[in-house]
Amino acid sequence: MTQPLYQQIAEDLRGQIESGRLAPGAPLPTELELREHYAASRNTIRDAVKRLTRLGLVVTRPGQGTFVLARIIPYVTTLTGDPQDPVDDSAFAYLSEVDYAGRRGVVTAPRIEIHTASSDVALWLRVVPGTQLVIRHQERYIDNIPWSLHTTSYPMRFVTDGATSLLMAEDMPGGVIRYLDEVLSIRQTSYRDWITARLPDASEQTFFRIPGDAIVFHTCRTGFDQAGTPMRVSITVYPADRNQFLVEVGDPPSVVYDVPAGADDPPP
Amino acid sequence: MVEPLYRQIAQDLRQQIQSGALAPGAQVPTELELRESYEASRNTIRDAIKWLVSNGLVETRPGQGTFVVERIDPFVTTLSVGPEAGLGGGESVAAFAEVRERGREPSRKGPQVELRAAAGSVAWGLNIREGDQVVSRHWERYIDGTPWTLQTTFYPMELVTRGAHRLLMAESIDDGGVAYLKESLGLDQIGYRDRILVRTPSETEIRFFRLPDDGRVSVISLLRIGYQASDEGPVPFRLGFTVLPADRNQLVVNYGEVPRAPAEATDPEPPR
Repeated sequence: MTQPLYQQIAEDLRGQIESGRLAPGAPLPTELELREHYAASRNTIRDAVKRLTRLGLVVTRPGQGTFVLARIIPYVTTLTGDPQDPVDDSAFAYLSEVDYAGRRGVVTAPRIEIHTASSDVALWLRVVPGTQLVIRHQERYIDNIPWSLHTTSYPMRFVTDGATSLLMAEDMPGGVIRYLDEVLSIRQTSYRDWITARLPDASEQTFFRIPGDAIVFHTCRTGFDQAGTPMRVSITVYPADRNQFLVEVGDPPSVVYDVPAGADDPPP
Repeated sequence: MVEPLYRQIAQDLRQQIQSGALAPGAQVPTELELRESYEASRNTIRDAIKWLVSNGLVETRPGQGTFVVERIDPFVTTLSVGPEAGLGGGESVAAFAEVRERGREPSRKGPQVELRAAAGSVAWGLNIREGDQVVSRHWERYIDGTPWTLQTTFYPMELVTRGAHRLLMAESIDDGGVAYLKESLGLDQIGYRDRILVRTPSETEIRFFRLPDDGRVSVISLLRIGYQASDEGPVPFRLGFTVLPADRNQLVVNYGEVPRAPAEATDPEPPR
């Protein structure tokens, strides 16, 4: 089975982009140059370029030409941290970690909302639909680039039981999880992350400045207390072009940050 | 709080899709028809359709109209099983049992066994010199006949010379590579680390997984390095690359003693 010509051309150009011969920011040869080089029709060249656009490798700027897109340096989040580690829900702890990786982070003050639980969140928190929930929402930036959107729901009864700071629209440097342990003796001892990759909705496209066909990670973390009862559900949305995750089981050596380029691609 | 009209329309259409009233592959009523039946403006209808598109429920084909996406029922893989379990580069038959338990039919092709000189990512991942010999074992996995994952595991040749000869055989190691290395060499996996990212599929992957040609579907790339103990601390002994198309794969990570989902709520979709 031979590949259609436009695919062969796209593949060839892609190889040049991935090898760096066509560097980020560099213009692609003009349509005319490509037609001559590949001895192909205008439509074939257009289809090849369209394919590269859809793969997120190039961008066409009207009146200027087509350019190779720069890659954002990804940030790596470890999913399997200590359930008491405040890095998960404290801007203070998170920022020191980002700082440690030599990057500059910003976290917005939390926006607090009270909602009635929708049926799917209720199912995960194991509460009756309609139960009041406290929702804390934060936006995170790295190097001035919008990086992730965090939304965590807690049952309102935590507040009525005395954890009133859940309602404060300010960061808890020690983290919400430790706070709940201190005030209510509700300790997060385990959690489950559910990771999917999907297309962004309109507000995510606007916030992250990504096209509608970009991909985002959608992670749902359910935290459980010492009695095995769900105590929070966190939805985090991460654009896949700038985020990676680590899962650690047992005792692997501590993290190496200098992963070489292409380390994640299986060799041909 | 009243939902905006476009959301109400989108929810209504979503219900029709989920109930099957609008079947997979079926054409969604035209913009004009929707405007009439919902008494809504063109922009409202467009926003509703956009919402459905971004949620992966429908797709718009230029010049043809809007169609209900033919969904592949996703499969959820749990990454965090104990390090002592037989997670032998995914080769173990235990992975098969997990698929069958959920009423689906697994199959696979392989292993394709190759010997080569370590280069680039393989030398880095196994912490060996470029040019050192490695064994790779490659599997194609299917669920219900649909191509599901591509998996390649690399082992240093040294494990073979020490006596783990079955790594070279082009036949399944049913208990998995980790269990086999424990049995043959007494090697204990003390832990592993997975790196998860999403990237655009390679041309080979587009063809193997029969992904849409427009780059709409990305692949999840899972890089797993397994470690054994040594006097100098943990050292890698296997390196696995798994490629999973994002439209049919989801991942779960458990930390600590996570209670099982209540029986009436087996594997609910995570909330949006």
